[in-house]
Amino acid sequence: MVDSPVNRPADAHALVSAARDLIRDDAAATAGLWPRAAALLARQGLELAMARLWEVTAPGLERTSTRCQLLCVGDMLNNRELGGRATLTWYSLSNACHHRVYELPPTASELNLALETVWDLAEAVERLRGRIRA
Amino acid sequence: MPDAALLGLVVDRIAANPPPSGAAGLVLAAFEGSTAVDAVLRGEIDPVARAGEPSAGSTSTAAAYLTAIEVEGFRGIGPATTLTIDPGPGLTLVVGRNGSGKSSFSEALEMLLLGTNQRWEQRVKVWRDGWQNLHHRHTRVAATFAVDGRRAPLQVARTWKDGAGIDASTLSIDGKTSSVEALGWAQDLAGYPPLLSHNELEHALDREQSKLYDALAGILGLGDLASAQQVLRDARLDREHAAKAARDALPALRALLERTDDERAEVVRSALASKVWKLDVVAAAVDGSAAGDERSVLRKLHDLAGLPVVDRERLNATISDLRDAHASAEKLRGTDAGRAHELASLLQRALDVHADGETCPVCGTEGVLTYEWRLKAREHASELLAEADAVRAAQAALADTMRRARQLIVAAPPALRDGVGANIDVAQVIDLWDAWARVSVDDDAISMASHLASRGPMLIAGVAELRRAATAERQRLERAWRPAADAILAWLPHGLRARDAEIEISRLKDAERWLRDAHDEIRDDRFRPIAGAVQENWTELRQDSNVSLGELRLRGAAAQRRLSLDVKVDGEEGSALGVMSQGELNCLALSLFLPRASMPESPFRFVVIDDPVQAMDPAKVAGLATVLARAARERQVIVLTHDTRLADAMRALDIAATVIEVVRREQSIVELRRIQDPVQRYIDDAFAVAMSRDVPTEALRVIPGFCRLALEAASSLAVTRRLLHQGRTYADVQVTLEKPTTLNMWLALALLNDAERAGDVAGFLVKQYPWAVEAVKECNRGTHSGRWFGDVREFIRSVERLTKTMAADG
Repeated sequence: MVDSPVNRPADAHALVSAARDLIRDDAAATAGLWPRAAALLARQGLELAMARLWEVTAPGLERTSTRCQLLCVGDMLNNRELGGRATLTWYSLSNACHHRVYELPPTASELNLALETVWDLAEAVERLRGRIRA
Repeated sequence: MPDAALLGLVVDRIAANPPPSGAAGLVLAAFEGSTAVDAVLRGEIDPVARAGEPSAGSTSTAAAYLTAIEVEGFRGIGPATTLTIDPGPGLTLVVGRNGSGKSSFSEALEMLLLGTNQRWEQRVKVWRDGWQNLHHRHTRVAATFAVDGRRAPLQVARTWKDGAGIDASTLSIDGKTSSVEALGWAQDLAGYPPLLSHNELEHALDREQSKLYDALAGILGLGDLASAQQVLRDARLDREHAAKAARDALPALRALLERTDDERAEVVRSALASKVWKLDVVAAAVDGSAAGDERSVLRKLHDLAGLPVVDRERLNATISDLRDAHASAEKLRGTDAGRAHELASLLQRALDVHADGETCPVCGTEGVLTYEWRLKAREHASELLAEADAVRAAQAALADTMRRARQLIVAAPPALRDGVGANIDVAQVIDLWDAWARVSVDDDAISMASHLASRGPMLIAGVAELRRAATAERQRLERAWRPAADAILAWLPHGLRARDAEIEISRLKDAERWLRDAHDEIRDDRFRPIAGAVQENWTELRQDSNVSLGELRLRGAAAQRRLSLDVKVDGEEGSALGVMSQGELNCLALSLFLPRASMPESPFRFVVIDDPVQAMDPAKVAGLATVLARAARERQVIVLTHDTRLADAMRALDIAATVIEVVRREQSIVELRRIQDPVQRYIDDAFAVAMSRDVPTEALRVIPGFCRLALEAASSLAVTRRLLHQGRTYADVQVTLEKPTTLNMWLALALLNDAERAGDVAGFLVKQYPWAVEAVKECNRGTHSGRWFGDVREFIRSVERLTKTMAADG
């Protein structure tokens, strides 16, 4: 029986790495499904990073809509540009994670771009957490 | 390739609708070539008689279906990847993002068969340099075909040595190095190209009308007719040039003739002045044998130059003869030949009567008629006779000489008097001659002699001089005439050719006209079914476009050939092409070229269409799906697209199609997989991740996400089916499907018919499908959290069951 990763710690960086592996590795098991799988992981990573941000800056905010959360990211990190990128990335990843009538799964380059943003966000959040603790 | 069917049609038409006389032979000869046409014009052969003979039939190439396209190191594809297709009629959609590598398959096929790629033909070097894949530099493109009559598939491949340029490929057929020609497809590739690219479609209607005509007329198999028309046209132009050349040379010739002072020049000028040239007159004028009629100057000069005159020696002889005869006669004048003769006869009689010692009977004297007297008498008689003869002789001689002298006095020949006006002075000689001829009958020998002596030499000299002058004048005229004569001789063959040509041209024109009508009739006949197919396609494709397509015809010839489209916008005729959107133009182009690729004469039973959906709105996509499906009944239709709408439309309209998805990893690794059922695909993906040992742990977090995707897809499909079944249009359905953004909205739309009632979904599920309640919740949460509750397989199976339920109930 495959365990639900309920008790395993969730980590944005790990998710990004895993997504990158999915894209890069020429594994038969993931053939054809890696675009959406990577998109799912990337989005989860992004949402995780945001959750960790609210943990130390605005607890409870994670219960609001993602849309609302995205609006606050830029200000909270004092980095409008990153906030904007995160927003765009989340929306485009969502497209991949939902069944859209006209759209095909994202390409490797689109995913890599998204993953960069998620990584940057995760990094920024950790840095902030570090500063706050200090 | 001789087309027996076409020739047969022409022969039939000749029988049914005969051309003007003389043209039928030309029409048939035109199919054989220009030598035959020339022979018919000369009257040497009559092809009408041979028309019944069957000519060699045309060979058709065996039908071919695609079974696979393999690409390695070419364009977007790195390591070798194979696209397999079921051989046989049917529809295959190859779906992938732009840059996923899907176009590389069609470009590879194009490269394989044509050795080139249309997209690059017009591009600069930088583009051509991108033909090889960046990650994988060993390049090979190949395709496998199932060919009628061959048990083993036909394999065609092109390979490049590492580092070679794009043009340096080796082609192999069934593994053996060969050439493209060996496939025998060259003509068919030109006439019925089985590859339609977006580029082509986009610009198909931009091209010059004549190119559009050629692209469509090429499939009608009228090549032989067009060639025959060309043969006739060339033959006519040939002759028109000859005629024109002759006519163009005339002004110069006329000018020369005007400058030439010779009556022949005038003859020739007038012979050429009329519309119909009198070429025999011209020829006669030049060839010198006909010196013209009696009135011509040349004739006069000719006669004058040959004017007869008494010979000087004869004259002198006659003069001296006259004088001698006269002198002789004068000397004997005293004598009387008659008396002498009589005396002689008297003496003779006396001698006869006489005997010796006799007395003269006359005077009675005795003894005088002695023997001595006898001898003397005999002598005397002889002398007298001789005298008489001499006198007679002298008189005879005199008479004879006079006669001869008179013979010399002949009147002036008519030529002399006629010679007046020949540009030389004949008057003097006329006078001389008149003086010469003035001699009386009574003239005696001496006056005759002096007449001869005084007039003769002057006349002789005068005539000699006249003759010389006439000859000189003739030569002068000839010299002046020569250049003109040469010019006429040089021109004459052209003139003759031109005159013959006039008749030939008229016959050729008749033949051309008839053949042109025949060509247009046959062309329209052959094009009608295609035009019908085009109109059918357009009707499907246009959907709610306000552009309607009426009659479609190929018109005109040579430089004016064009495809005439009777296009109306909102019922108004106009230059509809200018008003149509790019999407509509693409549809029209597709309508036009799809029938061409589906001609029964084409050996290619497959057609590969690259990206036809660009710039089409959703309504037209359904029409496109129908058109493609119709084509796929007879052909293997392979469509490459980046747009899932086409696949969705196919499913929605229950059109059987194989869908192959293309995705591209890094390093140009391209993956293809068949999607039987998109809903099931997500379920299968979820299972794949769950069951695999090779995926990283984090990857398991995607399972709920895939499950949610499956539910959304199932909802979408169910809704589409239901709405279409209710009679809603495909466009309407698309609009409805754009509303739901969350899983609950999707489920609300699918189960409750209203996307707004997302909140009621949970309640509905509890009542109708309680076994699905948890699964749905986990789908929602798990997509974000990456977690699920319980056994993963149970989870996925519940989801699967719900999707199947929705499919059944929908």
